[in-house]
Formats: sequence, structure tokens, C-alpha cells
Amino acid sequence: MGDTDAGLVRLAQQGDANAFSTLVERHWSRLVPFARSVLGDADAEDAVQDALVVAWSKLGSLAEPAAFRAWVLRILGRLCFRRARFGRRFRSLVGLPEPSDPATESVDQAMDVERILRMLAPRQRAVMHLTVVEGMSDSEIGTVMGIDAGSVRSHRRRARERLRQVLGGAPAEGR
Amino acid sequence: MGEERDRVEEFEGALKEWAERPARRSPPEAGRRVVEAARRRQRRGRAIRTLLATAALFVIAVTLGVRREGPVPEATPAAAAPRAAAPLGAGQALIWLDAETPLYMTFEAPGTAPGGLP
Repeated sequence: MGDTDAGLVRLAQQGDANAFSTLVERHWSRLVPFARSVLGDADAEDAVQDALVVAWSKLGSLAEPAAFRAWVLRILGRLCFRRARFGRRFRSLVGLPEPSDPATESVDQAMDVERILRMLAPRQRAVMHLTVVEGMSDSEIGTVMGIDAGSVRSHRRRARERLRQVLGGAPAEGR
Repeated sequence: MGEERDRVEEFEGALKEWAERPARRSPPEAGRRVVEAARRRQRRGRAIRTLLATAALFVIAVTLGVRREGPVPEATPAAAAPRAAAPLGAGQALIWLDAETPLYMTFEAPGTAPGGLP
């Protein structure tokens, strides 16, 4: 029973901490890259830990134990978007420059992935990650992000336009 | 345009490589930390619930105590109003807006001269 995600989730729903710990071990290496793409390297692991703590406290509400991964990704996504928004407000409050402002930065030839990602909106980063790194379909991404497949395509199209603009050296337009 | 597309594709390859680097915390360490953090959160939640329940019980106890003692009788307007007001004539009424503000009203039949106190 305990080998599959569904089995471990059922055990954890009954309060088995070891089962939940095993779930964390199993998914940790796939969740950190997602948080890294949305939030950046420095905050990623703490964000994943916090999302998993929230997940455990809400585990009773997970009706489909087999869908654990998508469910946790959704919790993590919401948490990352909130933190990204808070980070932007905090920077504007204390007067720090936006690191994603292409008017003050230029991308050199070497791929500084983290800096380039910051030039995208958090949801665009998430869609790019789930498309490129996870290889998910639009409907899977939509399920994770709580939006429809059309919105996923729209986020991805805008992200790629932005990337073309930034990487191709075209003049930057307002967001 | 083609070159820009190539750069985007190159970026997507670099993104995959960058994102998939191993995490600093190993999975077993992460599992242990998450469980510890969840337990801390549960303890904190229990402490907060206990505190809220105690506060609620205190409020209920105070409310019951006050009710048992009965309501404090309110001062009637007549008792509260100062007595130093001009005597009322016929067709006049006096209302105290507050302890220092009398409002005199004079009632007249239609067609008579305007009333009021001098």
C-alpha cells in the first residue's frame, strides 16, 4: 500500500509522519526546480519546504491521493506567486531597483538564466518551466496553475515574445 | 527572426539545465525538516487555539457575571436635565438636547402670529 503516492498519501492522511516524509523525499527534487524558476535560487528550497508543510496540514482535503504531485505543485505555485509579488512590493518600498528592468540591464551573450527569467512575470516563468523542464501539456499546466489551456498558451506566447525581445536585443517596450 | 528563435531555444535548453541542478538539501534531509516544521506549526496552532478558547471563556464569564448583577438603571431625561430653565407658557414645550441645551417649541393655531420666547 505504501509504495505508490496514493498509498503514502492515505497513510499520511491517517497521521503517519514517516509516510509523508517519504512523499517529501520522493518529490523534493522535482519541486525545487519549479520554485527555482519562479522565485530564483536563493528562496526556492525554503518555499518548497513551506509549501509541503501547508500540504501536510491540508492533506485531509486531497480527494484524489494519486494526484498528489499536481496538488502540491499547485500549492507551491500559489505560494511562489505570492512571494514574488511581495518581493516586488518590498523592493519598491525600500527603493531597490527592479532587477528585471531591461532599461537598466542588458543581457550579455552568456546565458544568465536567473536574470533573464526575472524579466518575465512570475506566471510566465511558471508556464515556461512546466513546458520546458517538466514537459507538461497545456491542460496539465492549466490544472496546476488553476487556469485554462488557452491562458497557458497566452502566457507562453508572451513569455517567448519577451525572451525574443530581450535575447534578440530589440528595444524594450513597457509591460 | 530565425536567430532570435535560436536564442530562445538556446535559453530554454539553458533553463532546463539550470533548473535541474541538484538541490542543496538532500531529499532525506528535506523530509526530516518538513516533518519537524509541520510539527512545530501544529504545536503553535494548538497553543493559539488554547489561548483563543481561554479568552472566549473569559469573555463569556464576564458577560454572565454582569447579567447576574442586573442592568445598571439609566438616568431618566428629567433627572439628567438641569432645572434652570425658563418657565413654560401655554402651548410651549421644552426638550433638552443635552444637559446644557434646551429646545423650546411653541405651538400656535394656523393664522395666528408667530410664537417663540422673547
